[in-house]
Amino acid sequence: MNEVSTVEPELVAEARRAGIALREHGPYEVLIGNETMTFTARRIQDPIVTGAQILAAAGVLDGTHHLVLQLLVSGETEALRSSEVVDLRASGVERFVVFDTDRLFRLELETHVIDWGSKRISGRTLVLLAGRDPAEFEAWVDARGGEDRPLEPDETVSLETAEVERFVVRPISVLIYVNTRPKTLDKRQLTYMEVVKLGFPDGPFNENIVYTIDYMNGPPQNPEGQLVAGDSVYLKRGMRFNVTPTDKS
Amino acid sequence: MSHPLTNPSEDLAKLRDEGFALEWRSGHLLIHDIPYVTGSRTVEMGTLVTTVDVRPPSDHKMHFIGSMPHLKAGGEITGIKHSSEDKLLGKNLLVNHLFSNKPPTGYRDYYHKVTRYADIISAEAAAIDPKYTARTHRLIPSEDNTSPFLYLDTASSRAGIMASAQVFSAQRVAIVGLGGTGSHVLDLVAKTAVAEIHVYDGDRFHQHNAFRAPGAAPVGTWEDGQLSPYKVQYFAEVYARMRRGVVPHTEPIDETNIGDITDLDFVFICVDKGPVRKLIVERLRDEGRSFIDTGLGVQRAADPQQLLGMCRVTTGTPGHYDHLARNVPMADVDANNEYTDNIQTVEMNALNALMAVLKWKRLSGFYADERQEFHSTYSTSFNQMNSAERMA
Repeated sequence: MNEVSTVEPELVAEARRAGIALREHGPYEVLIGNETMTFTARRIQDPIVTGAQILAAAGVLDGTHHLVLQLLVSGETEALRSSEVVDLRASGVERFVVFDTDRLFRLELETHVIDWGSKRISGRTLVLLAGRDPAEFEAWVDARGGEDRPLEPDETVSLETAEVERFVVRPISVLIYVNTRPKTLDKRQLTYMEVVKLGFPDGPFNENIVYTIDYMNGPPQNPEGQLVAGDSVYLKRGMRFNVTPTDKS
Repeated sequence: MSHPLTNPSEDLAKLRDEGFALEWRSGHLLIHDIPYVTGSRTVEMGTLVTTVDVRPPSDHKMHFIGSMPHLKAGGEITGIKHSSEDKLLGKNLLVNHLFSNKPPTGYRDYYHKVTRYADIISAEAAAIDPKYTARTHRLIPSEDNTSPFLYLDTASSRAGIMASAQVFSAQRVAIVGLGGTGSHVLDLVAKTAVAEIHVYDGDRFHQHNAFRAPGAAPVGTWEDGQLSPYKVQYFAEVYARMRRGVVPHTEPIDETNIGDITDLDFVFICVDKGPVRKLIVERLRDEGRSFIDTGLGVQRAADPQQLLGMCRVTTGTPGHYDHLARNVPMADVDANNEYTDNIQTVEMNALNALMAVLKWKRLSGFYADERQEFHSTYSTSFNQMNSAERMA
C-alpha cells in the first residue's frame, strides 16, 4: 500500500539461483508458468502471498479448478493451496507453475520426487524441470531393471500409471546415418554445411561446388526432404541423410 | 514419312477407288460426305473418323462429326449409337459422337469397317432420295505432313492421345552430352513428335559406353585398327531408323558455339564437367531460355560392396532461375576422377533421364503438373523422390 513503484522489483527467481537473500520489502517479480514451462513475469507487492493471490496474478479469478505448484530451488516441487500462505523471503521457492487441473501426478526426476499437475509430460519439460538446457540435454525414461529409453523433446509420457515414473537427464546423444554410416551428435540441429562435412569431411569446398542432400525419418518439423546451403534441420534418432555431389552424367 | 493415303495399302486404296472422300488428318483417317438423316428429317453431310493401325482393326468403334444420324422412319440409329461427347482427337479434329457396331466375326480390314458404317448411315438418306451417296469421288487434299516419324505413331492414335502428343510437334530441342544420361534422354525424346533434336558430344562411343546406353550396340560397332564412331554419329544412325530430325554435332559446346543452342525451345544439359555446365546454365539463364540440368552421383555405402546412388534434375525457365546457384554443381569435386571412383550405373542414368523428360513433358503441357517443382532428387537407399524449389 505504501509502495509507489519507483522502486525496482526484486527478481525472485534470479536471486534464488544466485543464492542471494531477498529484500525485506517488495515489490517482487515472480515467474509464473504453465505445464509447458513457459513463464511470464508478474509483480507482487507483498512477500507473504497465498495460493489464491498467485492465481490472481496469473489471471485466474476462480481458482477452484486450478492448482499452484512451487518449483523450489532444490529441484523439488510443493503444492500451494488457495488459502495456504508462503513467505517469498523464507521459502526456497524459485518459480510457480499454475495448472488447469485438480489432480497431481507423482514422478521421480533425477533424485527428486515431483508432483506434477498434468497427466502427460514431455521430454523437453523434464529437461527444463531438471534445470538443464534442452539444446544440450535430453530426458530418458529410467526403466527399472530394463533398458532406458530416450525421449524426443516433443514426445510425451503418461504419468497416470500406478507406478511412479522415473526419469533422468543426460547430455544429448543422437545417432543418425550419413550415407549409411552411423554418426553420433551432441545437439539437435545441424546446418547444411555440417551435414556436408559429416559426409565429406575433406570436401573439397568452394563456392561452385554443390552437394545435394536429402533425408528421411526426421522429426515432425522436418520429416523428409532436401537441404540446401543456408538451411538447417532438426534431428531425430535414426534420421538418415544422403550427401552426394550430383555432377556425373 | 508419307501418310497412308499417298501410298495406300489395299483396303484404303479400294476405299479411294470406290469414291469415298478421304482425308488424312492428325493421325486419323477422315471419310467425308457421309449423307445422314437428322432429327428433323433433313439430310446433311457428316464425317466418319477412324484410327488406322493393325489389320484386322483392333478397335471396331468409329467417331463421327455431325449430329446423331437417324432412321428415315424416325428415331436415332440405335444399331450404331454408343456415346455423344465432343472430343479433341488431334489438332483441328473435333468429333461429336462415338459409334459402335461390331459384326460377329469382327472387321477384316479398314475397307470392311468404313463401308459398313457408311452404308448403315447413308442407306437411311438414300431411302429418302436415291441421289444421296457417300461415294462422291471428291478429292480432298490432306495436310502437309509435319510428322518426323518414318512410320505412323499409332501408339498415340490408339490411345486417343494424339492431340496431347501434338504439343511437341513444333519444338526444336538440344541434348548436350550423349553419355549414359544424354543417350537415354534421346531414346525418350526421339519417340515424341519434336521437329529437331540436336545432339552435342565430342566423345567417341567406346565398348564400355555400350553398357550404359539404351538398346544393344551390335558387335560390328568397333573394329580393330579403326577409331570408334563418334557417340553422336552412332546414336543419330540408330534413331534415323525411326524418324528424321536427329542432328549430330561432334563439336562439344563451348564459348565459341554456345550461341547455337540459345534459341532452341528446350535444352537438356547432360554433361559431367563443372565448367561446361556453368557456361551453359549461366548463358541460357541470361538469355531467358528453358532447360533442365541433370546430374547423378554413386558412391560406396558403409558396406563397400553396396552402392548408394542419387540423381537430380534442376529446371530453369523464364523467371525461375534464382534457385540454380544453390542446386547446380558448377565445379567438379575431382575433375579427372583420379582420386574418387567415377561410378555410374545404367539404371541411374536412365532414371535421371526419365526424371528430366517427365519434367519437360509437364512443362510442355502433356502431363498435368501439380507439384510445380524446379528441383527434384531421387535416392536409391531411401527409394524416395523429393521435390523442392516449388514456385507455384
